[in-house]
Amino acid sequence: MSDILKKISEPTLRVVGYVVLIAMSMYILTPLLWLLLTAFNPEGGPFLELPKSITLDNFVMLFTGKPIKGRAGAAHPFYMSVWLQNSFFIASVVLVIIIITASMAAYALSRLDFPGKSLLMTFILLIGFMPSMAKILPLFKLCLMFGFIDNLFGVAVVIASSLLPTQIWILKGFFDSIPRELEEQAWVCGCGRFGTLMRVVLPVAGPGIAVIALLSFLGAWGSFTIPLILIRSEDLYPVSLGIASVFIHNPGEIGLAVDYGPLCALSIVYALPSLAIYYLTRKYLMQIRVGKMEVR
Amino acid sequence: MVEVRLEGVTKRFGNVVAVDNLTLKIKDKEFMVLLGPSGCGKTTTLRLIAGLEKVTKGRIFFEDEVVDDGETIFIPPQKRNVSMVFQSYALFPHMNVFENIAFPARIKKLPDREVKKRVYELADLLRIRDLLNRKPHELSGGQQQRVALARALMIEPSVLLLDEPLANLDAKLRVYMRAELKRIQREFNCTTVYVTHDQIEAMSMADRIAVLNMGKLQQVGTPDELYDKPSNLFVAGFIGSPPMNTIECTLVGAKYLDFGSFKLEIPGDWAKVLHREELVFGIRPQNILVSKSKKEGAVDFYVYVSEPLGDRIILTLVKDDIMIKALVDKSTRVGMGEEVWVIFNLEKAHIFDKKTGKLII
Repeated sequence: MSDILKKISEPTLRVVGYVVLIAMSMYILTPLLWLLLTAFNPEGGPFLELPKSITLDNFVMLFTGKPIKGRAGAAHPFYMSVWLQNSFFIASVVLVIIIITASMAAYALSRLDFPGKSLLMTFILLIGFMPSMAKILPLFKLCLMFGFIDNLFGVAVVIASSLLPTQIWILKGFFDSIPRELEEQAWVCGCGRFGTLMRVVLPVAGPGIAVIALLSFLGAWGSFTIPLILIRSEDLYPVSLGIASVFIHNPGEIGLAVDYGPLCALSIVYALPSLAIYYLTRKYLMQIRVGKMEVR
Repeated sequence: MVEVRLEGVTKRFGNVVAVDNLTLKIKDKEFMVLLGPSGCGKTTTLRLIAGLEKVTKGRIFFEDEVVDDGETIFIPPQKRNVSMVFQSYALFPHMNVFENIAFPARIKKLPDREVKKRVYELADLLRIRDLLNRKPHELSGGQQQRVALARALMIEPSVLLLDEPLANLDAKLRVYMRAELKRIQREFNCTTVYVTHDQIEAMSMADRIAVLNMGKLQQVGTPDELYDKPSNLFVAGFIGSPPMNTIECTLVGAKYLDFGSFKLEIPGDWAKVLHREELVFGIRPQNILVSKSKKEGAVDFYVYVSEPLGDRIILTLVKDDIMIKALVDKSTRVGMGEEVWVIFNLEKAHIFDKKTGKLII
């Protein structure tokens, strides 16, 4: 009797499951679908509609910065390509800063024994856990002092400092998993500490470096609050601020004055590096998952 | 090529004494084996010579130069011109075999042509020529071992340090590489310190063996010296396969050794040197004669286990609470539980002091 019930109930449950899943994915995917369609729609608006024709004008506009004839330039199209450059500059500087500083710090934490080491590591971890907005007031004062306001390099330094603690911890886990004997072998072969780091440890820690490079680039690429506080001039905005500014500059009727086509194109271009980097480094990302990274 | 001397070297890790007041001279071009059970301090000694650890007390000399005196002088491993093969081989996983072997020369910035020539020479010598383009993870254990050895020989080291290089190989390859290593050491003529816990490896390869236990040096000598005249019970029990039988006994009236369940008459010249009563009688399994028929002066045992090795048989013999091992010819066919008669070859037997463990005869 119960067997029959089971047989009847099983497919029903599965159907219910699918219905729920489909509903949820529609909820999540519809805005993305709108984004995609509007980016290629010459007359896109804030509604989900099938474009009558397909155009690449919105993308062209992003990079040429010239508004399309006969349309309101409410979205500041001439800034969009500058915003992309700014974002790229910030993310690249953050990436370089973090790879250099995190690899040296993580190596020291992994290999050297010095008094107060565990305290220092706890401290680094705590700073990493602290919400960045909690320390924004003293940080702002500091940025004023250093002239980091309205300064892309300054913004990059501040973003790097906020991302650094976590990256140090991740990389330390990678360094810990490299056998000490490899380094000792290099020393015996005549290699100094710095040479060993450059010739042996860093190449072997390649996957780990790739992971923190990815995480720090994406972290900086997507950062919003720190640029919001430190950057005033519109021509120094990163993309995140730029997209937001389009709405901030157009109060009143929500979004109606916004030129949706170029904005959606910008959003897609903005999302592409994240996807591309994930695709290129997925092999290394998998390695974290199989346990190469041990946060101790 | 240098002579290495350790003078009163002590190494402590916290409260643990890894090496205890070790004095040892490794002669130029000598193949010295540090032998001992795990945790005896042999690897630590090797790391001290390499400069990977600093001595707590004592001094280490390379020829006449102090390389480590535990206080002011410490020459780092980079400047000692030693080569080392780790037990795990420590091949650099991101370099191919060629670059691994060439690594020490690259650090020394030798000209490219010279490096190539040398790598090819070594690769031919160690029969890894066709592996030069592979990465370490594509090699078998034996191949990795040879690559590590080639890298160690790439520059002419003052001292070649080998830390259980054969431990991770399978039994057959181990025997083969044992002979290869010995030949290569003779060919390169470099001072070599070899760490192992395998006494057969030590016996077959070494010019001299230093036996360590609990951080203390037990005995240094040629394999023959260690085998024929072990200085104490530890060395006696460690060298030889199967190891020496050691049976506690007491001396009775300078005439007999009393084992409890039987007595042995001792030769006249023994009586002169035996002064203590509490002794340990030691005899190698090879020096025990076993026969099935009763003989004059023989002691009766029964066969507890019989382990045939092909040409010979290891017999485990029991009499009351005494258990000994005897190595006999395979013609001596005895079954488990059978009674046999045993004669000890007293000319090759040893007597140790029970209290100190030191050799008397």
